[in-house]
Order: sequence, then structure tokens, then C-alpha cells
Amino acid sequence: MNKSMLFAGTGGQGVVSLGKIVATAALKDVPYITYYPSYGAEVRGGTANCQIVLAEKEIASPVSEVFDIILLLNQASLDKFIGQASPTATIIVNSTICSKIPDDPRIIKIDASKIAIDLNNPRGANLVMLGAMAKLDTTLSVENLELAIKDKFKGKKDAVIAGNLQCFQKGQDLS
Amino acid sequence: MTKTLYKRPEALTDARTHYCPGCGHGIAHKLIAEVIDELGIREKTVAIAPVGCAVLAYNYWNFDCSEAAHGRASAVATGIKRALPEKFVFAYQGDGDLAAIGTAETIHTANRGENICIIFVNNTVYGMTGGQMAPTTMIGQKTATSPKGRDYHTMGPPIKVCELLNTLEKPYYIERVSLDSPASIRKTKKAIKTAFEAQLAGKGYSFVEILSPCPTYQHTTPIGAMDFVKGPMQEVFPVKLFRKDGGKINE
Amino acid sequence: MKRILMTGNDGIGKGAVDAGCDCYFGYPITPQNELTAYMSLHMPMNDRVFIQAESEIAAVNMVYGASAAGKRTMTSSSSPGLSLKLEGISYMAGSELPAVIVNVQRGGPGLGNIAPSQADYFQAVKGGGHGDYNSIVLAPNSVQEMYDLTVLAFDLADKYRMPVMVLSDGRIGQMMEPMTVKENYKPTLIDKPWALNGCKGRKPNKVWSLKLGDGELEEHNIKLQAKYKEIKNQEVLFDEYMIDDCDTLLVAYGTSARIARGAIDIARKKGQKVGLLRPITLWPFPKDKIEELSTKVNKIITIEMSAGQMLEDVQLAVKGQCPVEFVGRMGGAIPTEQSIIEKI
Repeated sequence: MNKSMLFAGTGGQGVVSLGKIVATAALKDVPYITYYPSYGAEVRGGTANCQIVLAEKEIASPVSEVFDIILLLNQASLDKFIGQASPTATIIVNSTICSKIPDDPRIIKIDASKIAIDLNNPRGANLVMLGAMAKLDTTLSVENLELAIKDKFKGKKDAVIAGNLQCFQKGQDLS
Repeated sequence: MTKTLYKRPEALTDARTHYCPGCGHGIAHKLIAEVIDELGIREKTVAIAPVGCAVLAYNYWNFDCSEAAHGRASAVATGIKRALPEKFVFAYQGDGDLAAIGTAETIHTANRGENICIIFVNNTVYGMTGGQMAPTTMIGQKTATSPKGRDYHTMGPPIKVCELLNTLEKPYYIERVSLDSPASIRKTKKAIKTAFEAQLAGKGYSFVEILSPCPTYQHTTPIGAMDFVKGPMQEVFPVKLFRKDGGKINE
Repeated sequence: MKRILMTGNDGIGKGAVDAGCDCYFGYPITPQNELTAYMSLHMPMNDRVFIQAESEIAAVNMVYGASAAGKRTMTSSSSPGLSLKLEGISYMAGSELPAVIVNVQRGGPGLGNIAPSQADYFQAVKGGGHGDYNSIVLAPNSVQEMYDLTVLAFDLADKYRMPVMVLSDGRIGQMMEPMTVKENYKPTLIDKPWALNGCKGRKPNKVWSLKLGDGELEEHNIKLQAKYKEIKNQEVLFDEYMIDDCDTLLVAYGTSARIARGAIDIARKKGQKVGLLRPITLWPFPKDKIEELSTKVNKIITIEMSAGQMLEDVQLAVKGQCPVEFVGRMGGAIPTEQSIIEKI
């Protein structure tokens, strides 16, 4: 196993959190993990993204040029990163926000922001996307992902945790 | 039977002075040594010598001393005191060191209220480098780098450090004293002692500015330098207690 | 051994706390801010000293003071801030004070950008500040090494009474990887009879670098150089990857070395015999090892995120015995595996 993942969106959409959740979920079973966020000035306003590599063997270069799994939360990210998808990549696009989605068999459209709003958790669109990913790619178990989500929101009210887990569940149901 | 009327303080070595005749540093060094002896703190003292004429202060003091880069004595003192809060730490700095290149360190150390003492020797000139204009050089005063006298319009007026620090909340004790006469020397020793006792009691930041003669670069005789400190200097830098017991006074 | 997920910057902080760092003094600058934030939380939590100083200059001089007082102490910054710290580093080299200095490099010159870079190599390994001096320079290439080499840095600093630099970059600083920590680790502390802590029962100590006496400064420098020579003999560290049969040798450190390994894995699949020599100490530099390898390989390729700085040290070590080529990017850009493969 050697999976490279890219999560991209705009600042505030929770892509960096998404990366931390996935890295945390991998900690138990995956021998080698690297997580690398975009950082600093570009987080504000521009595209925010993070990259993760999960591997059985020591990860030589943590710098990926092509990705096996890509989650794209806004149009700017889609335009910027679609070219870096591997030929067999799983590309999940937030279709609530992205209007110009190319005709590409690798793309799975998820109405993530609308679903999150309907669940009364507008900031949970990232977790709807993560749910879809968990269903389409089983590198990480749903159980470990759920534990990582709980860990991420540790200390928050139970309702907040439950709301986020609900978004994650809804994403799995869709795909 | 002989009776000892006076002896060298234990906190002072018997090194021969390198200071010019009529310089105030020797007096200030000795006052500090006397106060340290009187308080019995020689074995727990760590001093910081500046860059400037007093860089060699550690040759005269018989206790632990560190050098500091130019202007950084307050930062070095902060590092030592935070590392060893039970020790007694003071920095000894001249006007170029403290009020030009070390302005940021001086202000921020005072603002944090570090529990240290700063002895600030103001003689209005850079001595060691050859009598250049200092931040405390007075308007019209001729120096190696203000040959026609300090010009208000292009060089600005002298900085009054006690007044500046007195705008901050945390300093505990701020006083300006002078070395111009036996009476004012006694007053200076009292100020040093007040500052040192404040640190020993854990009260926080103390600052003593000492107006000091520099015959060589004030371009006068030793007696002329004393007159310069007493007269023109004190018109610009009034001898004054600015703050005691953590509270501003005379306001 | 418990695995924890940490950023490289936090890894350095954790390493410093575990190594018994008593006093940390910092100033904010991207991309090392997580480290200062980590220390602001964990130093007070462990009854240690944390100060956010008014400048990088003040911070490094606070380090000077805490070190003079005999304590383990550290400061950290990124490239523009490191330029400011050179004053204090030179003074500590002159006064023979141990300290750990961290540089999480970013692109330059000037304000540059906040992207990862290796363009401060010359500054780090050639002294950097004024005077004849060197600092030991350690170059981590993973979050684990950010931790391990920080712990080592404190030991080396005390052993040789000098500043030791951890030279990293924004990529490793920001990256998260699992790492294992030294549980219940107790650092081995050595006596510091030279420290300033009050002259009770001894003659006064002084910490100073001003040597005005006739010939005094030269004598002091001869002593420093003898120390540096011993370090060059004793403390060289490097890592080898597939060098036994290689005919092309890559030389790279830090992030560049990770990318070089990636390129090697691809090239090996194509049957190309490529290996990597990764300096872990950039000073002292593993020049003897590189000289030895230069007689066995057809060529050497140096890979850096700079205009080619370590390249010069590699060329000096090779002494013309084989061609030395270069793959590099500047201004915060990172070389690709593909660009290395093309050069192979």
C-alpha cells in the first residue's frame, strides 16, 4: 500500500482538519504517514490544501506530484489540482460549490455543502466528503476514522461531535 | 594599636584602574562594591558588564561577571535572572550602550518588570570609541561626530531615559543621581542600595541613572567635568526620584 | 514504544523539553511559529522558563545569559531572524557558551517568502557571524529526527561548550509524521564549573570574549580551532542509502534527501545503480566519506533547495576525482523526483 491524498479547498472549509483526522486515523495501523499542509499567508483567502502519504514502507519523498485520492471542496482547487490526479484516482468534488466540473469518469460529485446545511451543520461539508471517501476507499477503517473525528473535536459539546459524525455517516450513505 | 578606618571593599579587587583621571566609573564601581559588601551578597551576585569603557568592570569586581554584546546587557541579565531567580543580578551600562543600541532591550526589560537592577552611567558621550555623540549628548555639545555641536534639527534632542521609563507601569524604583560632589556621591550610594534591596525583596525592576564626569571627552579638567555634571547636565537631566515603592511620585 | 503524530516544529519542542531545556526564548516568525507556541505552553507546564522576547536579538542574548548561568537553553527562528541572531551566536562561540539554535529555513534573500528553503547553508556551516568560529550543524530529514537531533544538540552543546544549530526547513517544520519519544528519559547533565551562579566557595567566574592582551586573542582562537578539529574527528554523522553498488551517487540533506530517496527508488526499478549519501552533520561535513566514494562512482549529483551551496563542500571533498553535477531550486521551490531522474 502506498496512497497519496490531497485535500483542497478555501481557507475555513476545514481541509487542514480533514488531513489531521486522516493522519490520526492512520496512526494505529499504517506504518508510515506524512502529512503536509499549505501554511501561512496562503491559508487566508486563497486555496488551502494538505497532502498525506500512507505507506507500508518508509516514505522516501513526502512530496507527491500525483495523487490517488483527491477531495476538492471549491472551484479554484478543482481547477488547480485536477491535473495532478493519477489515471486511476478517486476524485471527489463538492458539487454544491463547484459549478464547472469536467466530464471525467474518475470524478464523483457530492452535494456536500447542501447536505451539511440540511443537517444544520454547515461547517461539516468536509466530513460529508470524508464519508464519501471512506466508502470508496477502504485504506482506513470507518471505525478508526470515527475515533479520529471524536479525537479532533475532543472537549467540544456532545452535540457538536454527534453532528459531525452525522455528516460523516451521510457521506458514506451517498456514495 | 592601629585602628582600621577605611579598607578596600571585599567586593572590589586591587586591580590598577584603566580609567582616565577624573572618570566617574571608578567611583560608581566602588559604591556598588560597598553596597554589595554591606548587604552581604557578594557570593550570590552575577553582574553584567556592558560594551563601552566599563567593559572591563569585571577586572575590578570580585564576584561573578558576564560580558554582553553592545546594548544587550538587559537581555543577558534577564536570561541569568530567569535561570537563577535566587541570585542577585545587576547590569552596568553606559549611555550609548543602554540608550542607543540597547533601547529596545532596556524598555522591554523594564516593561516586563524583571527583578533586576540596572545601573546606568550617563556622561553624555561614547568614551571607549573616542568621544562620539551619544543619545544623551546635549544640544550644542561638541563631540567627535558632532564637531559643530549637537544640532536639534538634524540630530534631535538628548534622550531622557528615566523620564521615558517612568511612562511604563511595572518599574519599581527609578532615580537619577549624580557624582558631582561628596554629598551627591553619598546620595548615589543610597540609591544603589535602595535598588539592590528592592531586588532582594523580590520587588522587580529598579533603574538608577548616575550622571558622571568624563573629563577626556567632555573636553575639560577633572574639576571642570564635575562642574559640567553639576551645572549644564543637571539642567537637562534633573537629579530626581521618579518612582519609589512601585509608584510614581511628584505628579 | 508509543507513536505520536506531531509536526516537525512540535517535535523539536518536545525534544527540547525532554532534553532538559531549562530556558527558551523566542520571537514569532513563520514557518517556525508552532515551535514557539509549543514552548509557550510546555515550558511553564514543566516549571521551566519561557519568554517571548522583543526581538530575535534580545532572544539570543537571553539565551547567552541563561547559558552563562549554566542552564540548558534554546532559541528558534527562521531565516531572516537567524541573520539577527548571528551576533549572539558569534559571542557565544567566543565566550564558549553552549546553546541550541533552531533555524526552520524559508526562502530568501531579504524577506523572501515563507516556503521551505535550504539557502542558509553557507550562513550555518561557515560560521555566519563575525570571527573565526564554527557551530555544529545538524540537519534532520524527518519529524523523528527533529526530535532526536534536538536531544543530541543539547548534549553536543554542553560537551563542547558551543552553539549547536538544528538546520531544518519549513517543509519538515510543518509536516506531521508519527514519531516515538524517549519515555522517562533523563538527560545526562555535565558539571559546569565555569558557570556564573555566585562565587560562594570559589574564585569569581567570568564569561567573556574580549581578549585585549598581547597575543591573548590569537591564543584563544588556537584553542577554539583545536576544539573544532576534535569535533571534525569525532562527531561526523551521515546516513547511507544503497551506496554499495552505486555508480551514481546523490548527496543531499533534509527535505532534499527525502526527494532524492524517492528518485532512487524509481531509478532502481529501472535498473539504474544510484545511491544516496545524506550528511546529518553539515558541520562537521562528511568530506572523507564523500572523497572515498568519489573514487568509486562515475558521478555525483548534489541536490539542494538553493543555488548550490553544499555543492561547494562536495566539490572540495571530491577533489576533482569525478564530475559533480547539481539539481536545485531556489526561492522556496522544491526539486522534483523527475528532475533528479533526468540528471541521473
